[in-house]
Amino acid sequence: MRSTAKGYLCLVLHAHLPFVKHPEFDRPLEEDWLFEGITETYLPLLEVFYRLMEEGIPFQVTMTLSPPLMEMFSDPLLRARYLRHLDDLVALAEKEVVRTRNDSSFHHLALMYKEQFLRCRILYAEKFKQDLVAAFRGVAEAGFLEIITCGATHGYFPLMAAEHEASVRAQVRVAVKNYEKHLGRKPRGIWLPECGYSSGDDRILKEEGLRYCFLDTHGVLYASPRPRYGVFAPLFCPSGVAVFGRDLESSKQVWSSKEGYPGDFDYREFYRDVGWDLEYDYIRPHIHESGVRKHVGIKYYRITGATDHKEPYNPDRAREKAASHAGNFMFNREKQVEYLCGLFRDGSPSGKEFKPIIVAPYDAELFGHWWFEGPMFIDFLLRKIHFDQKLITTATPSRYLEEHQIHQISQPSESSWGWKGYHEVWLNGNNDWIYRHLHQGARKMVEVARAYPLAEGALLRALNQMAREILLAQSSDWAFIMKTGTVVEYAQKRTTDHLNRFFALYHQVKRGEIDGEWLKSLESSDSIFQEIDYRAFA
Amino acid sequence: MESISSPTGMEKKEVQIQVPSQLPQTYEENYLVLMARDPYWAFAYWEVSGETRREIAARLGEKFNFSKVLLKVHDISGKAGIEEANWTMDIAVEKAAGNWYLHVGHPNHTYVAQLGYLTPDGEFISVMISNRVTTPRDDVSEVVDSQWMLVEEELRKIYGPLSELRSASGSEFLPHIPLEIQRLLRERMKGELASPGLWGAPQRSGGM
Repeated sequence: MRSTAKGYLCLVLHAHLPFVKHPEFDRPLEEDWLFEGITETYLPLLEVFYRLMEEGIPFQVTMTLSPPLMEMFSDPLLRARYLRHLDDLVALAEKEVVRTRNDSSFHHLALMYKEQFLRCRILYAEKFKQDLVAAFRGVAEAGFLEIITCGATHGYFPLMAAEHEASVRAQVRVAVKNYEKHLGRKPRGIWLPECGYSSGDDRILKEEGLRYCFLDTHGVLYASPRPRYGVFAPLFCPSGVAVFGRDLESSKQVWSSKEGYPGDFDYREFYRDVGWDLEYDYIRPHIHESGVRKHVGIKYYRITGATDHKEPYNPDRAREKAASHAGNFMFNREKQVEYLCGLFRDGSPSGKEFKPIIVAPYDAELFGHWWFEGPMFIDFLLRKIHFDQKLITTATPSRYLEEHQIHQISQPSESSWGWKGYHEVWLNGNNDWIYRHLHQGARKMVEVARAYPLAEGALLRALNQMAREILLAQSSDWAFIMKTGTVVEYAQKRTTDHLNRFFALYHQVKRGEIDGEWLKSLESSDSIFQEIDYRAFA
Repeated sequence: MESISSPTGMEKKEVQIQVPSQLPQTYEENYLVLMARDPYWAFAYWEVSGETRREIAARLGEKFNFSKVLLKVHDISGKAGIEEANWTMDIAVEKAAGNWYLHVGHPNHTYVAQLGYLTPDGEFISVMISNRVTTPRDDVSEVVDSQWMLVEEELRKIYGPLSELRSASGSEFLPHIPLEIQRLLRERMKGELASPGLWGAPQRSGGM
């Protein structure tokens, strides 16, 4: 950490996808979420990180790798299916190179995609040997990346109303254990799923060995007593867990639908995809086998404007834009730090010079998947911060807390980073029906975890599978999808299936008649957390 | 008997699992759960088991059929229990209803719900009481820490706009950063600035 810096930028990328694995189907569409993530976000981010490391450019980034994501990265079936998916993409790109050979507007773009997919293949299969957890761990162990954990299945803590403490504890404990399995040490920080915080949850984090978490702006601003530095310094909860609050200005520059960088007219248009644009018979082998069109990831147009008319994408112009946006982002952080340092120039009650920390968290998938140029933006930003100025430096919460140990004690406010700032995204007319069942499941899980503290054999396996099923049902992703109305049936089915499997296992356990064959099939399909210990719910 | 069918219509292998495809309609238990949705709204869901309903019906006789199901919401902020409630709101809910959104109206207040039957002659038969819930804050705290006390001027620079959000308090605000934060926070709460959609979703929600 450079001592000359007057303030810190804490860039946080939250990488999470729900656990989707369907061995019973050959090409389930929902597994594409992971494959698109790998091609468009995770590999490009890794490429940025490794390139900066190889060039000796220091940076500090914080990143969640949610437990389901790490489990999917490590799953042999999904790894094999990703390679098959990538081979399909390469084949399509090669066809596109031929198809566009006489079209100067698009031919270079077809070549760009072919090169990108081939590079992905080399990175994934050869450089990282199909092990993306190890790839991220490499950046972390070199000291550039702090990987944090999340709720075990991204369950939304504030709405775990029945058996709240046991449910939240299980989400945290299973996550911490899974982190250790994959990364070989304990996590220091956690991304609360959806930044969902309710009073007292920090105590559970503390007991499970976590030192810090993040909250949305108002979670910190509305803390009591009033935080002296707003969101520009962490607070200590009464439990001693540090909370870092999201900075609104830096969020807005990236997130805002109106003014955010990703909406720039030179950037690639997400919605014009050859999976929808090209002639049906031509694209047929590359869309879903049922014949349903889908996004395939080859997109030839730029946003152009608020119009249906789209111009061809120009990679050079987009690249220049990404560089200029990175410069703008950095400039604004410098101005912010200067302003805040001026405001608090008399120092802090701890006696140390006040150095603001600007916390800028984003969904990792924004970078690359939604915002094609996002990884490039991060590359430019980290380079510029290193070479072009001295006022700010990047920091992870752990590094920051090592240097700044004294902070105000205050009770943060219940909040989330969802629409409207509280719980409505996950509790509304589209999804409120799930809670009576989820809560019933939580009560029954706690009941059996306490009733059978020393299970062995088939009973042990059944109880562990019950824990997997209830955790999978708790993923906030399902309620979110029901709210946004995208693949609602799938989300309803996942919720219903996991709960019904859970209840069926419960009755088998209570009757002492465990169906071994069926249990085995569940263990192989809902295979998340092989290391799980159902006593996390006790 | 459910066979796993794909929601997205792909080829399926034969995997038969002996679980129902619908969730239970009833758990035959009594429960009443209260959840805060935001600083102003709460959500309650409940079930009265057949057994409990029959007991009450037997006790009330003919009156049972003319009774209303009443959901009471007690504001017990700073109190030990519902006997000392600051105020109570009665909502006659439909007999078939199993949940209700409640406009409780006050951030950082503590509530308990109670469900029961109101007979035609005004007698209230309580069936059960919920967990207690405190609504989230929607403003900066009025509590100021002595050790970390803010100089009044600094306080206005950081927080002035936030208090103005709720009520025009009359204090003068610095024009640049605070107003910007005020605007951002307003957008934030209207949902214009939030986390983006899930991956794979055709539309970005909230964020972009």
